[in-house]
Amino acid sequence: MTYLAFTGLVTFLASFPLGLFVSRRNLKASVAKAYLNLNFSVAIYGISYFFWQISKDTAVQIIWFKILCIGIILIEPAFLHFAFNLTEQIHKKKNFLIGCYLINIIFIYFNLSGMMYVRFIPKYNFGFWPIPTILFDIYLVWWFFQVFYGFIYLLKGLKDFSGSRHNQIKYVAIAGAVGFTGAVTNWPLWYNINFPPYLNILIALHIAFIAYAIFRHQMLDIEVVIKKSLVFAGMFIFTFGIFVAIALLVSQFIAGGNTLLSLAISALIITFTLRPIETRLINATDKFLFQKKYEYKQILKVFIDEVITVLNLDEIINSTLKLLDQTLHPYTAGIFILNKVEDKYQLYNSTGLDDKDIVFTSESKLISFLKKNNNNVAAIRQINGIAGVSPDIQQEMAKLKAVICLSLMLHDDLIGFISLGKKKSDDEYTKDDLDILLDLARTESIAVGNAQLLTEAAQAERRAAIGTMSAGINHEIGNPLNIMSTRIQLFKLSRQKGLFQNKPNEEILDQAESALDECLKQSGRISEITKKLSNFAKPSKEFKPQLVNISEEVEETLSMVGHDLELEKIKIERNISSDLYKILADKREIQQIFFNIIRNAAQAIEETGKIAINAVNTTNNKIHIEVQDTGKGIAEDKMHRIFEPFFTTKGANKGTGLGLSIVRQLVWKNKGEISFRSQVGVGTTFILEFPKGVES
Amino acid sequence: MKKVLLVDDELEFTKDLAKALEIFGYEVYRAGDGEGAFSIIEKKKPDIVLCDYRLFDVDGDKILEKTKKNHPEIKFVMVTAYYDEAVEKRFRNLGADEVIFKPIVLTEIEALLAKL
Repeated sequence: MTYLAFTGLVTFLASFPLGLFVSRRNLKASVAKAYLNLNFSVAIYGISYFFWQISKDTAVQIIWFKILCIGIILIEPAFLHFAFNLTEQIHKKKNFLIGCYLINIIFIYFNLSGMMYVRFIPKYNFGFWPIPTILFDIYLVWWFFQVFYGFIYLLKGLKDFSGSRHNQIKYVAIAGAVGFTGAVTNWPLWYNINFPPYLNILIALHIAFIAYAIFRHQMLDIEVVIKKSLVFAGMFIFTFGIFVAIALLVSQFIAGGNTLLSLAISALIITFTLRPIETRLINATDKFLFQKKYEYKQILKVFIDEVITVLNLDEIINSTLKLLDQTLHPYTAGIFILNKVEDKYQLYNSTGLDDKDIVFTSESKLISFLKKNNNNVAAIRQINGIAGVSPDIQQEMAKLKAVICLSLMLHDDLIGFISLGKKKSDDEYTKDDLDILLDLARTESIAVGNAQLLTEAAQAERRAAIGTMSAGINHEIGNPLNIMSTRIQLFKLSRQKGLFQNKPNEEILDQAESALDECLKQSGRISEITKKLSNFAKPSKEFKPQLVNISEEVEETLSMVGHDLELEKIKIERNISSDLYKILADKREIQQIFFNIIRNAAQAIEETGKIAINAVNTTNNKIHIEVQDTGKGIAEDKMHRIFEPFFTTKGANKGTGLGLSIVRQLVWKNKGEISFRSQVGVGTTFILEFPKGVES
Repeated sequence: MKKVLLVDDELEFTKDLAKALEIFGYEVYRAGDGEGAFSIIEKKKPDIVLCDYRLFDVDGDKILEKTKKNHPEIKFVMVTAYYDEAVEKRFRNLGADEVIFKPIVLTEIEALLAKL
């Protein structure tokens, strides 16, 4: 085989599989169809070039040469077709294109009828070449015209488009330039110019640029197909290269050649090197064309470390799905979570699944399988009935468009599972994939479990808060209502029993007025509590922060409650540092904070006792205030609830349970922090910290 | 004449309820907290105790327990503002003869006391 035959074959082997795979995908896009046209024209060119070069018989050579010319003639309109499609000029250029095809069909006729060349003569060492007629001269002009016309449109497209389309056009233009440069080197020999078509190999090389455009820049929207084709084409070229090299070597060293020997040596080498070469090719395409994919394992590992710290179930599920979508590119991915109440596995969220209401009961075959096989085979691969996966389960997985299901096990319970569809790349999941997915599933289980626990705890907490709140409302509003209602009923009862008979009107009116006064008083009580409630929901409208001197506000507050305290034999101690920073806060709200805390302290003191108010500056530009009482203290089991609205340990009429929850809100609003420590029988200390105020 | 003890820290309420019960023909005593209630129970031996659940010093169920323990013959009616079936069940389990909810209805109380 000559070098020229080799270039033809390589061209064929690079283009044909590519076209075959594209066509097998049944692509509807017209740009892909146009590419197929071009691809097959090139393939025809390549294979007939090969046979033309290796044929020993002149008649056979002429037949292959005519087929070769059909390829050449078809390539140009196909190139134009593709270029117009890619640059979205196809509608404008439709008639032009039809014209091109018609003219080229005429040239095919000229070609087949032998009107384009006189006869064939051997040229130098490159086999039989034709002597062109005037018709061929015309065709050559037409050939150049088509090629340049196509390039003009590609260059125009480069200007018109940006983004990935721009890049696609760029690489097609490069591919075209490379390919046609290779093709041009075939023309000099026709005109007896001794410039051998060595660069014919460039026609094969152009495929690489096309492939690159398809991979990197999603040309034809078929990332999928091309990767396999590229690896496949690479394998073909490799095996073929081995074969040729060995054949050439054998023929050189053993006179006359020995086909059988060269075949045997080739087969031996190919057998031992095919696998590693395939792996290398896959890795190389992954690395250079799918760099993101190559890094997915790293990304997954980082994610596994991070997801464990997330406590929000929505966030866990959605970020997991997003990650799976971006790293493995599956057609579908879904996460199912056990609904404990209904004992069903419900789709929590998914990508690529249209049916969002998929539910699996515990009796489902898939669920039983996942429960049973967790320890050794958490991932099931559905490869045409792999051992252990019954057709029932496969059917259920087909409903999910899944090829992999990963159990989410917490302790010994299946709390959910992840389903994954086929990869868009058409690759199988590798063992590496499965290993890392199992890691992901394990971590995901813990994260989901934690989030669920937290949700349950939060719900319980909320239920408790609502419970306290409704109990508080019952008490605070129910009692005044009860007093009003009883007084009214008593008045009616007295009248009914004749108690008002023989009584002067004045006395009856007095009784009625006193009843009404009582109702008024109690309704006032109700309106107080509703006011406090709305204050609680939405504390003060006007928020006027200013520089506030804590010492002054404490005195102001004590002047309001101090009198009561003295009566109750409670001693007040103040220990406020004289150089205490001022803070930026709302004066009225600061008073409210101290009022509530001091009153709480007083109420906690059963007979006599002491309230100490200490305030100092801290080293980190804050003020630190402690309000310490010698009261009864807060029981440990109540400590976590004292800031809850309506939670109170005080008796009737003493507290609404809103005080401390309002205090905390006010403290936060004024950029402070509140905490406390308490010991039953010793007392409670509330600790307030506010940042040093700066005049704005 | 049957003796009734009213226990509630809402003094306006016990005052009015006492008047109504007197109209119904009962001898009525009032207490504002647990301590007062215990002392009246011991001194006056009422036939019936009407007690609010939420008091300043003790919870109504403490008074209920102690009353039933020392004087099982005394009928005990728990009064509460929290309407809840579970609460009613709990009071009955603790030995309450009746449970009534605020706001009270005088005619219902009349019928209920007559039945005890």
